[in-house]
Amino acid sequence: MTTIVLKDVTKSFKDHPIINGVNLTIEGNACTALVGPSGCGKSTLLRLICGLEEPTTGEIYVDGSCVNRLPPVARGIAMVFQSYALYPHMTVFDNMAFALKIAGCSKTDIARRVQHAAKTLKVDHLLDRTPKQLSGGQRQRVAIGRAIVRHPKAFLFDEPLSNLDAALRLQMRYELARLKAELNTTMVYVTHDQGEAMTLADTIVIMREGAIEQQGTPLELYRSPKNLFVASFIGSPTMNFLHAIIVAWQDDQHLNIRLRSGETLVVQVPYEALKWKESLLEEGSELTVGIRPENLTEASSRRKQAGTHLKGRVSLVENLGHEAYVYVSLPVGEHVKVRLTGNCNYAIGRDISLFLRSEDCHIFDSNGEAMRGLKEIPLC
Amino acid sequence: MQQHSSLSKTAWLFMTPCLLVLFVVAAWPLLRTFMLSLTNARLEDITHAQWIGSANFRDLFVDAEWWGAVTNTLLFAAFSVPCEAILGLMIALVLHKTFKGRGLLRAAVLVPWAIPTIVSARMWGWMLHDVYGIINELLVRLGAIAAPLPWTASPTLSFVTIVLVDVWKTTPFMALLLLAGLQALPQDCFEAALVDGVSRKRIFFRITMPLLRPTLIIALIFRTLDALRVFDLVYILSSGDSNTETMSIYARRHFVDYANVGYGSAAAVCLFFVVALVTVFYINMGRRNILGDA
Amino acid sequence: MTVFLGLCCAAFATHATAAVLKMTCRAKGQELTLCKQAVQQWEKKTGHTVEIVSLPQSSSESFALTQQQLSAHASDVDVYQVDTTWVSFLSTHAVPLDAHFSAQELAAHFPVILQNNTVNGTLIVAPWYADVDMLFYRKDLLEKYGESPPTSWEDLLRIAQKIQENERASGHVRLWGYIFRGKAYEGLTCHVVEWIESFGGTLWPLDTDRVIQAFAFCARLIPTTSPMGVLSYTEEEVRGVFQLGDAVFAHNWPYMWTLTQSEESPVKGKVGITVLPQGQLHGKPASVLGGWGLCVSRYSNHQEAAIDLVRWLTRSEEQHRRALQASYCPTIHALYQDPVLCAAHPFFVHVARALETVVLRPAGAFGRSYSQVSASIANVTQKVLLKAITPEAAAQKLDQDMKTLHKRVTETPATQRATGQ
Repeated sequence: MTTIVLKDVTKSFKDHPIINGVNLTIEGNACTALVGPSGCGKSTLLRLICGLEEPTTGEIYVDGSCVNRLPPVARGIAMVFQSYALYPHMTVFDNMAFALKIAGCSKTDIARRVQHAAKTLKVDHLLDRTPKQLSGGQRQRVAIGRAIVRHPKAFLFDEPLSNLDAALRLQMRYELARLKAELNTTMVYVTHDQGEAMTLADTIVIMREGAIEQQGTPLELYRSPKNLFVASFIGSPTMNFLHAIIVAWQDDQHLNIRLRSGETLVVQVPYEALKWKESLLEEGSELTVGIRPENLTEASSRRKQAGTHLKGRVSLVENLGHEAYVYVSLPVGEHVKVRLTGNCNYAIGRDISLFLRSEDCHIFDSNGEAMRGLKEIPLC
Repeated sequence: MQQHSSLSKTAWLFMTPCLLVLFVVAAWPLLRTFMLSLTNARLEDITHAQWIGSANFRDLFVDAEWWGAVTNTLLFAAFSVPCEAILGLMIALVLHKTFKGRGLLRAAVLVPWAIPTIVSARMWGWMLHDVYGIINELLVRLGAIAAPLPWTASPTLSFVTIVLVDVWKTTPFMALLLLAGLQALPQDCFEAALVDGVSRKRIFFRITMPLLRPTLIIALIFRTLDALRVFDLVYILSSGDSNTETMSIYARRHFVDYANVGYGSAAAVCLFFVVALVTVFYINMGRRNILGDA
Repeated sequence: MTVFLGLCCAAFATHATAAVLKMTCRAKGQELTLCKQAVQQWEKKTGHTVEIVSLPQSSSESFALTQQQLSAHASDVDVYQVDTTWVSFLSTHAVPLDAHFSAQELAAHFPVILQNNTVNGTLIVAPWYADVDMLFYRKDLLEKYGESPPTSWEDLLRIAQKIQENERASGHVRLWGYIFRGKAYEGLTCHVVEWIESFGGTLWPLDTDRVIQAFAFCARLIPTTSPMGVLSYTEEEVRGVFQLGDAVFAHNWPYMWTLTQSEESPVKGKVGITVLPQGQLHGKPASVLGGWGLCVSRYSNHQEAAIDLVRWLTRSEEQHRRALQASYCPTIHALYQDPVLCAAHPFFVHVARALETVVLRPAGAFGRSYSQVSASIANVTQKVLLKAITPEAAAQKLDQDMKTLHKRVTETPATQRATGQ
């Protein structure tokens, strides 16, 4: 069970800061995903952990010992590259066996390990081929196999699925999940696809511009994003954001707010916890209300329930067969996207009324920080 | 079907000017040389040459000086090409790294190759002069040699000198070719190797070299062909003796100095075949790697 | 109107007759400058223009170039500067010049030079300057060690060795005793003929005993008194070493004199010239007839103008100027009594002496094969100098080679055609 700890790690290339003071603990035997937009530094962080780059300041610990000065192999870490990085002139067998040969393992040992890994990854019939003769998916499996045979303390994956086409990507995602369960080793997985992260990772670390925005389980990030960035990053399709202002504090726990379109709603917000940001909590302060498309419904079916109604016009309908996404433009120039089950045959321009519950709303102050998380949503 | 034939007709049409030029510049002179080698043509009287069949070739093959020239040429190629390849590789590896002033160094490395051979050979002849040459002066002062050496006059030393000057001149060419090859290598392989724990030395021999092989073979082909045809360097630097005479110089000597066009052509034809043979050998050897897994 | 037309015609006529000639000229030492100066005077006088093409340093290379031009019957070049040994080759390509020189003018030259430049009774090369190898020596060093200029090769070796050893001991480590043109080219062939003749032998037909004697002398040269580097020396390298003061004796053409006496020369005022030494006992001082002349190409489009140029360049006044300015030896024997020249170049009296007893290279006997013979002689000699073969074996090989090549000369129809014309 290997833990990796990063302490105050920064990295700059020629005075260009890439990583700004990251403190991170990667739990053992679990998959931690590093997610973020392009350029946020997730790949750099991975390379720092691997040992291909040295941190400008800060320390990296693997299993309690500082590994700053150690080369990659001494850290007991294996990496799967985005471009697979297979040795073009060697066969699949040799590619997977190379590291073991260097380490001085016996021939039988090597053969056994390689066969086992090849079987696990279903590439055992390709052992005599060279990378040129393999398809993208096959190459990726060989790359993973090359990492597996070393029985490393931790696996690092650098966007391993981004070079594959959509169908293959989904298939491989399933395979990786299966592999993860079988290997039960520490994994660090870098991706820009939040869907991958949500399905594969035990912990997700969201990064932006070299710093960690939020770290937590997928469900935590989904339910309780700390700020607007995380909220907009997690969840597909993206969360809807509406402008609002504070009307008044009803009491310690409840806040009266009014949306730009005029509707009001009461949300449960713990004043005590937010007292220190008093200036942001005055009447008239601006807020952002976030509501996920899946939490919006058509008003007609919910007329009797307690909640807020939004009136708007249909501007676009995306029918996906089993569900539909309807873009609704609200009177004050805002737009929301709503997810409806089944087929939707609304014409563009049709009036539509949407229903939302205050329990489903995410409230962000004028700095973009969340004022509360969501309560437990009951199982369906 | 019709489209295919009209496409191929157009292709031939486009190729014709190029083929014409090649014929005039390369094929025709070559054919002419073949023809002349079977006659007793002399420089002042080429039109009245008489057909003598393979007599020139028979005379050539019994001439000890010819075989001496062949040996010299082969030895020259055998020594200079590997030296240039190894030195070129070392320089290419250095230039492949990023460091301050790399751009300047890359340009500086090209200087020997850029200077015309005639000029640099004269320059070296001057510097290597046994009495007033600067090389001898430096070596004596440094205590490396006791007395000035006759670099271009001594039979044994002149061969070494010519190889050294050729290495000086051509290593940049090899270095640049190999550098281009190095830069085209997939870089992620090397990172994977680092992660796999491969030492730098092993990375070089087990990964870099096999991947560089196609480029290396091409570079070697070019250089070997040039080395077999070497003329200007030897002509200027040597003392005219038979120790450093190469096939080209032998051919020229008979063709121009002795005005014996037929015989000289025969020597030139033999040189052509030697070079062609070596080319074929190299291409076959490197075929598998240049074309990938054939 | 008529006057105007007349003027136009005249202008057109003069313009029409103004020719552009091309001439080859050597660029060794000061030759090119001297040539250009004389040519400019002629241009002013006649209104023609002359383009000068410079020739390579080595005589063998110049011959290769000239041979190619003339064999191709090219009309590019009108006047060629030619060496003494090229005459038999030129017989089919050069315009006969007898008719354009008066008997008086011809008689002024040394007979041996005229003889060399004549083929089948016709003069085809106008003599321009003579070259005879001389022995240059360091007056100051000979005085210092109480020696006088040697008259035999044995003497020369003795003096050279003595001075070399002593001077090196006192710090002048680069000094060599005797340097000469040892590269395998025509220049070395000249030396070989001189050495052989100075021992009383002849090269063709081969006088075996004397040749062996001469070769035995050669074998002693390297590295006792001569550096191995001489094997790559031509005229300019010999001059370079001697002018820097690193040689006691130098065996070279007289052109070296003016340059070693120039302002920048480290040996200015320290140089003496004399005739070459003789071999022991049977010999005589022997210098090979060198020198260059001018010929007019048969394929030239301006033969008349070219002949006029040749007459201008080879006349007595021009030879006098070249001799005075750059010590190029005249071919006209009257000039050797000229007081101005003798005052400027006292060594001319030695040159005159050498010209009286000059020897010829066997170029005539071998005709077109001469370059091959010359190459063979030079190569064998280099081997002797390197002590790679014995003098006896060398003499034998030389004999064989020359006989084989001479056979070819007498047998090929091409030669008959050339000499029979």
